[in-house]
Amino acid sequence: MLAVWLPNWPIERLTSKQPELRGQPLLLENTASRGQRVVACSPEAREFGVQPGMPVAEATAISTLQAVRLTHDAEADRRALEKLADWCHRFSPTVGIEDTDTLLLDATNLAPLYGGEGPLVEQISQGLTRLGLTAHVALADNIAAAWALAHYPGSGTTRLAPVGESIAAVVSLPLAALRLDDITIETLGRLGIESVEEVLALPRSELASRFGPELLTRIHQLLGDQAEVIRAVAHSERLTTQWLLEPPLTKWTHINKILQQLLRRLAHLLAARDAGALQLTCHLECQASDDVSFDVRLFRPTADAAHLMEIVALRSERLLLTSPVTAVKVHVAKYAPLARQQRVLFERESHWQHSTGVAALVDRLAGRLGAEAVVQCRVQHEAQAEFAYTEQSLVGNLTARKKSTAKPPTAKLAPLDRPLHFFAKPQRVETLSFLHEGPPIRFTHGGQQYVVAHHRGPERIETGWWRRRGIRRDYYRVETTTGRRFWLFRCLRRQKWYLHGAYE
Amino acid sequence: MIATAPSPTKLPQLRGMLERLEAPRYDHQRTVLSTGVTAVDRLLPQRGLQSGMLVEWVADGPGSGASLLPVAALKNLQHTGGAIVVIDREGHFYPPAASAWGIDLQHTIVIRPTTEADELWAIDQALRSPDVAAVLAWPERIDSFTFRRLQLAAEASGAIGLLVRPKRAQQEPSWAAARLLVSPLPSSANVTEWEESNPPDCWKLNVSVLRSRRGRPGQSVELEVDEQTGNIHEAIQHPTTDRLPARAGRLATQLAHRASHEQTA
Repeated sequence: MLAVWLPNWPIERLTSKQPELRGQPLLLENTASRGQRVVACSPEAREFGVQPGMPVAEATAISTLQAVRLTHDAEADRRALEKLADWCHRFSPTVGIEDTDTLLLDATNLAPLYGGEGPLVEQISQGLTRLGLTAHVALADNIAAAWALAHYPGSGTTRLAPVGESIAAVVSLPLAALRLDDITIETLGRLGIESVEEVLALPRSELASRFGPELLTRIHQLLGDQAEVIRAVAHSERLTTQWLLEPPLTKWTHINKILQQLLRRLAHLLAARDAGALQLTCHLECQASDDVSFDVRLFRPTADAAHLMEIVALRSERLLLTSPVTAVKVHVAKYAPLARQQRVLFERESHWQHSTGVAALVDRLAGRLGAEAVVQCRVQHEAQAEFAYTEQSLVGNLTARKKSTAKPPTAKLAPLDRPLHFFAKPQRVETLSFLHEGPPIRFTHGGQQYVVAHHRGPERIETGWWRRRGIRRDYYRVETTTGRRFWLFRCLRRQKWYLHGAYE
Repeated sequence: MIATAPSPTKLPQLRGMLERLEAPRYDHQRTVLSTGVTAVDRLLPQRGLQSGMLVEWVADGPGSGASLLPVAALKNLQHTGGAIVVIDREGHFYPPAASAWGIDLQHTIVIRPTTEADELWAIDQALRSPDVAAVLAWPERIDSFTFRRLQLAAEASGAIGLLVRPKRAQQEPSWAAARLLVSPLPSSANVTEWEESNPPDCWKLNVSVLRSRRGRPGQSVELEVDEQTGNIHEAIQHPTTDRLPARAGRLATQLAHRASHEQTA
């Protein structure tokens, strides 16, 4: 279990939202029944002697202090803390809020994904520092111990209690580390009990009757006898993982290893939600030059780490990096519920779109060649030859596999009506024809002169005047004296001949 | 030891040895499908398209109809349960025409690589996949090493590779089971410069074997592609063509003259 304590959350929330307030003495006040009190103050104000809990009148009496006074907005603090908890979802799938300034993260099984508990704590700490927040991060066996260690960090901003040693780390802390209320602490204090160790030494059977059930609960929670559950904050839609690099890395093999690790974590997060990724964005922040990012799209939702690693590697090996990388972030741009794999009795007869072999092939091809290079075509009813079909990428979207509901084009083409070899951009050819609007007789293409022996046509193709770039063309299927076949047209507007296809 | 030419009696024996070395293992166990044209089937080793086979179709110049035959063959291959993969680097593949030939575009994946290296890689990847029924591509150049890799990939997965090659590929080495040259033929004997004659009802193509794993190179067949239906069948020799022998002789020289005029380098 991980606890993150943000000691100055109200102030830091404001300074991150309004950077101009940073560095200034800042007072947050609220109106309680006993008059206005300082709820929080910035470190600069503290230097002048201001303390949280102090009456505002006392604080303003300090003549040397030119403080900015703002009203404390607890609601806004809470909302922002929830957003921060959601941000922490890039580290752990379960994040909860305790009090007004502490976050709890479930760290079970997370350590291997970060290469150890130490790096895990480091990464979280660095991430929060980069956001401009002061945070104390602690990792321990249970929530009670983690909370205690976070609030009483000793030296340094992070504390790690190795497995089994949580209690030992906590025993020397004062009673407030147990999250007890003030009355209980005062009562115990009058009895001479000041530290956790002393409380643990008391006979347990009488504690409930003398101090109320809460003390006993807290002790049991600390010892691990009573389970404590994180009340998790709901996930927002973002699925992101990141790795901050201190110092920046230059070697591609190392960056690749980090990418692989990030993908393993993402797969873990996706599997927890029973979802698969359809589109990933990988973002590399560079020190000196522009950030590099690339997209990876998949044929089917997948949460398989090995598959994701293979496809990302195909794309990432073509990247050119010009400066050291300071952070690597991977974000799931699109995801969908994982398809339930149905066992098909006669696999040979099943549609190939359900087969994993083709899915892997499509992903690999799209990974190296780009999503727009792997498409499925569909014929559409359209006079102009260039637009008689549409293409749709097979990766990155679920609609690619819907059965075509469009009506088939009403005019069924004979096989030789259209050429198999098509020039998307018609090629200008020098043509000779006898009649003004007649068929071609000779034409030159590719440095060769061809003499037309037979022709079929003209097939008049016109698009309506409402099209901005309408066409008026007479198409001819010509056969030359040597038996070669081509598809030519005369543009009626410009009176020029073009070659639009060859039968080969 | 000085090499001497083998005696004529030994040639069939040597040829048999070569075939056994070159042929894939378990030849007899794999299914053989028709290209849709019996005459073309006859030209191929195994008398058809065997799974794991690569076939080259060399186009004898532009407008020669070389892609027509493999596309027509795909009609037979597409319903075997696997996907059809078309690798179109130059962007010449025209889906409406393919659809008119009977290709179901819902079963077809079209890949558009931009470089030759990417194209060969994509062909390799597609041939390797066991769920791919056939691969159609127009690779300009394939070096021997890559070609061998493609052949092994097809053999391992059972996919059929239909490769349409340019004319100059004839000089290149081949690991395909067969290399066929497709040439267009003028439709009729009437070849005067400009004559308002009715267009013919079929397109004539000549398919000859340049190289084959089994069967003799040099075998050829003349095909007719019906204009209305797209039906391809072997041309039947009409007795009427012998009606005017003298004119035919003169026309033949004219044809040869014109053909050499238009011959691509």
